[in-house]
Amino acid sequence: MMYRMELDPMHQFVISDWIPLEFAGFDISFTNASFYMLLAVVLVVGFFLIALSKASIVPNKVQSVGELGYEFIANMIRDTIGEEGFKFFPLVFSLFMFVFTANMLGMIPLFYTTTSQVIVTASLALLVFFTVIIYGIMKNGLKFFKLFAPSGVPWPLLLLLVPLEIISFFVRPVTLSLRLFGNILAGHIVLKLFVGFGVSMLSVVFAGEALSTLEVVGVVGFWMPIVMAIALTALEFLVAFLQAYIFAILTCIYLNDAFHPAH
Amino acid sequence: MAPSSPENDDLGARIKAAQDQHRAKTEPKPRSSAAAGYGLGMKIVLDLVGGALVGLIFGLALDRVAGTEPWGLIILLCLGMAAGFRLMLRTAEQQAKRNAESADAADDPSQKG
Repeated sequence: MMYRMELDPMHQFVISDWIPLEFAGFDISFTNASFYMLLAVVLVVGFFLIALSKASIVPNKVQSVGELGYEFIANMIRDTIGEEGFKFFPLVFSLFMFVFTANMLGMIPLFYTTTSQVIVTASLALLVFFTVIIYGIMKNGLKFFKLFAPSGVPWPLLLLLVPLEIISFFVRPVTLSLRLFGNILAGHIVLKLFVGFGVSMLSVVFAGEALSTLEVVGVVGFWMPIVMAIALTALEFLVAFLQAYIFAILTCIYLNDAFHPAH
Repeated sequence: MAPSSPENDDLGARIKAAQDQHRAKTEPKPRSSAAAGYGLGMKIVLDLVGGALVGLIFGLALDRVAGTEPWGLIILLCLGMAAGFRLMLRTAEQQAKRNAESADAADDPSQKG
C-alpha cells in the first residue's frame, strides 16, 4: 500500500521552523512549537486580564471562572504545604494554567501539542526541581539535606540508604516530565491511529479498482474506529485536565519538601 | 462590614454550609477506581523506569568524567534500580495503608465523609 503522510500517527509531532534564527551556533528558530507555547501564554494572560479588568465583589461570568481557577490552586497549596506555601502560588498557578492551556490547545484539530515534546515538559520539571533545591537550602541551610537521611535508621544502613534517597530525589524531575509527556504523546498517537485506520478502510473505494472481500468488509465497517476515536477524544479531554492537575499537585508535594525537609 | 447580628451569623453559617456542600461535590478526591488504578500503575512504572534511567545517566556521566569505565555504570545502574524498587515499594505501602483506612471507614458508618 502507498505510504500516506496524512495517516502517519507521528507526523503531527514534527517540528517545523517558521522563522529560522541562529545565535552563537545554537539553533533558536521560532518553530511551530514555540508559536503554540506563546499562544498558550497569551491566552492565559489575556484571559486573566479580561477576567480582572472589571473586578467586582459580585463577579461576572468571566471573573468567576478566573476565581474558580484561583481557588482550585489555592486549596491545593493549602492542603499540601499550608499557608506558608503561598509564596509559591504564582509558580504553581502559572505551571498549572500553562500546562492546562497547552494540553487543551493540543485537543483542537490541526493545532500543535507542545506538551508532547519531552524537552518542554522536562524544562518545566527541572524548573520545579531547582526551585526546590535552591529554596530548600536558602530556607533550611544544611538541614535541607536531612531529606536524604531517613530518621530512625541505624548508621550502617544509612550508608546504603542515603545514595538511594539521593537517586530517588533525582528520579522526581524524570517521572514528572515523563508522565505528562507520555500521557499526551500516547493519547494523540492513539487518536490519530484510530482515525487513520477508519480513513484507510474507506479510501480503497476511491482507488477505482475492484474490491476484494476483505476490502468490502473494511468499507462496511469503516465507522467503527471513528466512533472509537470520538469516545477517546472525550477521554483525552479528561487526560488533558488530569495531567495538568497532577503536574500541579506533584509540584506542591515536591515544594513541601523545601519547607519541611525532615519527614 | 455589616454589624454582627443573629441574622448575619445565620447567613454566615448558611454560606459555610453551602461552601462545604459545594466543596464535597467538586473535590476530585473520590476518583473513580479505574482512573485511580491507572494513575497508580503509571506511578509505579515511571518510578521503576525513572530509577534505572537516572542510574544509567549518572553512571555514564561518572565514567566519562572520572574514566572509571565500566564500574560507575555498573554500580550506579544497580543503585538506580534499587532506588526505583524502593519508590515502588513505598507507593505500594502507602496504597495498602489507604486501602485499609477506607475499609475501616466502610465498616464504621460514622466516619463516612
